[in-house]
Amino acid sequence: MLTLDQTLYSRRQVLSLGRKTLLVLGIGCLYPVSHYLRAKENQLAVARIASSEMPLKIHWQRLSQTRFWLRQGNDGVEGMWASCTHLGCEVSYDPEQELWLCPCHGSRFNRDGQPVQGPAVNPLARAEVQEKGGFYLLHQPVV
Amino acid sequence: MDLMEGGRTEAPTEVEQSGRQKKVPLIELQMREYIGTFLWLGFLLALTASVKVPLDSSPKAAAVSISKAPWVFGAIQWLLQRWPAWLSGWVLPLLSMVVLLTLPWWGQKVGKMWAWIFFLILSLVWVGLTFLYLLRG
Amino acid sequence: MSKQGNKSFMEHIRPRQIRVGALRLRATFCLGGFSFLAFIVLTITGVLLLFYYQPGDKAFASLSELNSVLPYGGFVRSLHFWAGQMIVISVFMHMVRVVWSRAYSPLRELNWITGVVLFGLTVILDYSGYLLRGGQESGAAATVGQALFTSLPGGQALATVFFGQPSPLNGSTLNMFVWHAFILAGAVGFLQLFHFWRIRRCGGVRPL
Repeated sequence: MLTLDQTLYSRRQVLSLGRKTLLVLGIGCLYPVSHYLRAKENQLAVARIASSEMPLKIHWQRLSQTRFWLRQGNDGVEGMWASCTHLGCEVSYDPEQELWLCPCHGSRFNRDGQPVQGPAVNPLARAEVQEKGGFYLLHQPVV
Repeated sequence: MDLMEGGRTEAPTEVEQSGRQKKVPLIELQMREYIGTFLWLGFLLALTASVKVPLDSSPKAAAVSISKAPWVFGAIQWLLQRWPAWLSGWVLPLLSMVVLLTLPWWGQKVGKMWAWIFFLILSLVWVGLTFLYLLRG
Repeated sequence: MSKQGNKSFMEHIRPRQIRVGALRLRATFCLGGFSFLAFIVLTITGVLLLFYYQPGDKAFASLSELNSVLPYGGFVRSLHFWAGQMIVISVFMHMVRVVWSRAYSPLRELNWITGVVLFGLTVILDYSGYLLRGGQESGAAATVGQALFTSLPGGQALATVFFGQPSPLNGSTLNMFVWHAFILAGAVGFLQLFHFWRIRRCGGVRPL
């Protein structure tokens, strides 16, 4: 019986032991929880679309709801990752001006992704395109 | 819990006695609570480590032919398989809840022994149906 | 609030002294305490799950990714599941103990009602959580629930408020997600605090 005075541990000791254990457990949880929460930190985007659903033209066309743009190039399908190389805003291609426009700071890139104006100095990154079994597989480029 | 305990003045181990029962300081309870907490957490972790929690069949996979409900609704499922929905799904569960909610009042009327017996019967019926569903589909 | 304000809430929500008889295991079997403990575990794991779970069409996909790919994802989900099963059982057994020790007698009727409502909400939380799995079996369970509501006069509106538009294959919808993770969980949390306060106000565990 715990209330007998001849106990091995005093009540205060049990309580403080309990508190310390909870503290240790709590701190111990920090490592797995941070792994859990950070699991998608550097995940690269991938996309897949049936080639029949995306007929290609010479102008860049966007794969809806992604940053992948596709066009028919001289040697096959070309993919572009539409992130401005200045600070990462999503750029879009204007077929009339034949320029990529960045809404954030006014950077502009030509048809092939080379910077022609604006704070950006690096060309846009190409996305890797694979053709497999009637599908285009697109991968975000590693920076 | 006892987050603010540390650093306060020492509580006397012998406290004033009032009424018929001896009284002890809160720490006695807190100590037991800590022990209980760790036992329960240990049990939870043991369960988690040993029994795998299933995932349903994917909605993209072929349609399943039998869909067994989890045990919590076993009793209602058992009833729904036999009796009309308005009874099994509405009347019986709601009636049981009403009986439960008004227990203090009808319990007063029938006396403590009968209150306990009726409650026990009601509980055992629901628990029994659950086991029936689990064991006999 | 005075400097002592916050401290006194924590110090007053618990009594200073306990009757010896209330310390006995047989007085409560710690069932109420276990229920609250389960609720805490459920809240923490639930919040962690909130970071990755996506209600609606992607429910099953996000859940299986969480379960198998995410580091400790399966562990968090299993904890949430098992704590959920244990809370239903311990709340039920707590109720049995309360009836046995006649702790519903006069002056405590309000707390009894609060407790029964909590029990009902706990079971509904279990059901709604199950639907959020987004698989075929949970889609069937959602359809049954939807049909039960639609069978009521004017039930179509109720069914939409609670269930949204689940498909027969997928019980997870934004509506059900909001009910489970926010409304019901919040209500249970609040009612529990009220429940504890009432115990403090009307006296704690009495031996038989």
